[in-house]
Parts: sequence; C-alpha cells; structure tokens
Amino acid sequence: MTTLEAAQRTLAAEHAAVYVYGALGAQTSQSAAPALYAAISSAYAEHRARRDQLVRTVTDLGGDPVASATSYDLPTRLGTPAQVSRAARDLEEACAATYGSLVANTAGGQRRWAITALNDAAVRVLAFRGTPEMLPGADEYTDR
Amino acid sequence: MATTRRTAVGAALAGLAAVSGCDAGRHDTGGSPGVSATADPDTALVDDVVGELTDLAGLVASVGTAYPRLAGPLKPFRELHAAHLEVLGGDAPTPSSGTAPGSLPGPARALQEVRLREQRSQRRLVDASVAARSGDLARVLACMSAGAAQRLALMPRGSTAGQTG
Repeated sequence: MTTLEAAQRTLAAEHAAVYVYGALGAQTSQSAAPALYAAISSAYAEHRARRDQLVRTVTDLGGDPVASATSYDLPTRLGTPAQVSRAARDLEEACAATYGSLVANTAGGQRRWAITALNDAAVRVLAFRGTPEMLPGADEYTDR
Repeated sequence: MATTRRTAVGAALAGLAAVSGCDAGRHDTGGSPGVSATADPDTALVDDVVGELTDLAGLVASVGTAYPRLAGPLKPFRELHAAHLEVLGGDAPTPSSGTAPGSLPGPARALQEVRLREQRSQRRLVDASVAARSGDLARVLACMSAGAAQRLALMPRGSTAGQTG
C-alpha cells in the first residue's frame, strides 16, 4: 500500500466517522446525558479536523481526495445512551485500527501525526466506557 | 539474546504483515518509509525499547513490592509491560531489574516516579515508532504507545492511589 493509498483509506474512514458522529449527536440529549453529549461533540470536532488535515495530506501527495459517500450505514440501535456510547466506542476502535495502518505506510512527520491520531482514538475509547487494551489498533492482539 | 529477540520480532512482524496490508518489498512510499517485514535494520531499536521497558517493568514491580497498597493500582502496567515485552521478544520482567525497594522515597513519590517514567516511556514508544524503518514494526510500537496512553489516562492520582489496593 502506498502512502497515498493509506491516506485515502484513512480519509474515507474519517468521512464515515464524521457522518456517524453527527448521527450520534442527534440521538443524544444534551440535558439528559450531558457527559455523553460533550464527549460526542468533542469527538465530532476532532474527527472533522482530522478529515480536513487528511484532505490536505492527500492533496500534498498529489492525489484527488476521496469524497464522502452520500450516506453511511448507521448502527441499528441508537435509542439509549448506552447504545450511542457503544457505537462511538466501536467507531473509535475502528479508527484506531485505520490509523495503525496509516502508521505502517507513512514516515517522518506524517507517521508522527498518524501515531497521535491513533493515541487519541485509543484514549477516546475510554470516554465511551471502553476498556484498555495492550495494543489498541492492532486487532490481532485483541485477546492479549 | 539478540538473536532470540530478532527471531521473535521477525516472527511477530511476519504475522503482522499479513493483517496490516503491508506487503514487504512492494511499497511505493517515495522511498522514505522503507516499510518492510525484515526487522534486521531495526534490531538495535528494538533492543533499546526492550531494555527501557524491562527497566520500567522492574521499577513498577519494585514499587509494588515495597508498597503493597500500590500493587493493585499498578497491576495494569505490569500486565502491559509483560505483554509488550512478549511481543518484542524480551524477557519477563522481575523486581530486580529496576530500582531497589530501599531507594524508593515513600508511596506517593514512588507513584509519581512511576507516572513520570510511564509518560516518558510512552513518548519514547512514539519516537521509536517514527524512527522504525519497518512499517510493521512502526505500527506495533505505535499501538504499544496507544496502550500506554490508555493506562496513563486511567492511572489513579497520588492522593487516591492504593485505597482499593
């Protein structure tokens, strides 16, 4: 996989993350679940920023940034804060894995940026009641 | 030791290459990342990381021995270091590989020392990942840094540590 391909794949994942977080925010009551709402809002802003940076990265690499899809499949059950939190947790775990792949296919400053994004996603998992792992983002080590 | 470690890392990376989408020798990354499943160029880097993790694991074990009420709160770090050392082909940590219990300056300061050393180690894993020539190794080290970041985010503060341990 080239750096450009990895960046495009990560950008596509961030397009999906922004979309899903928008839906999760819409399903979360700011008054009834303020902590969850704040966490969702913070994550939404962070993923938008990551997406925008990836657009610049892809452009800098000479690529045409992949566009977002018209819509994405959403989790079927988002009726409770616990279900919203679960969906956010799954999303962050998926993002951590995607950034792990980006780390493997970049170098220098781009790699460092990908590591930061991986670390952020891993820590954000905890905000959604996730449990720590030995190697977040490396699914083959999940059972360790 | 070096040969054993090199062999272990090579085996780990061979497995990782299969799942990370990395294909040794076929990367077109402008020549800079040099992603490859061949770990030899990174052996010294891995040795350094293993040495640092072993020292840190020894410190954590020593603190838990000297101050049993900290053993519980520090257990996640012991498990983390053991898992990371296993992946990198390092030896299992022992209390004797770190600071001697007699030199630890009380539980609060010992815990603070662990926190500072864990933070330093986490940053070191990031730097090692950036420095790795192998993309697969870089990914493993980055994921290790993420695991350390999670543990640090959950680490109890000094005033409350040990109340349940």
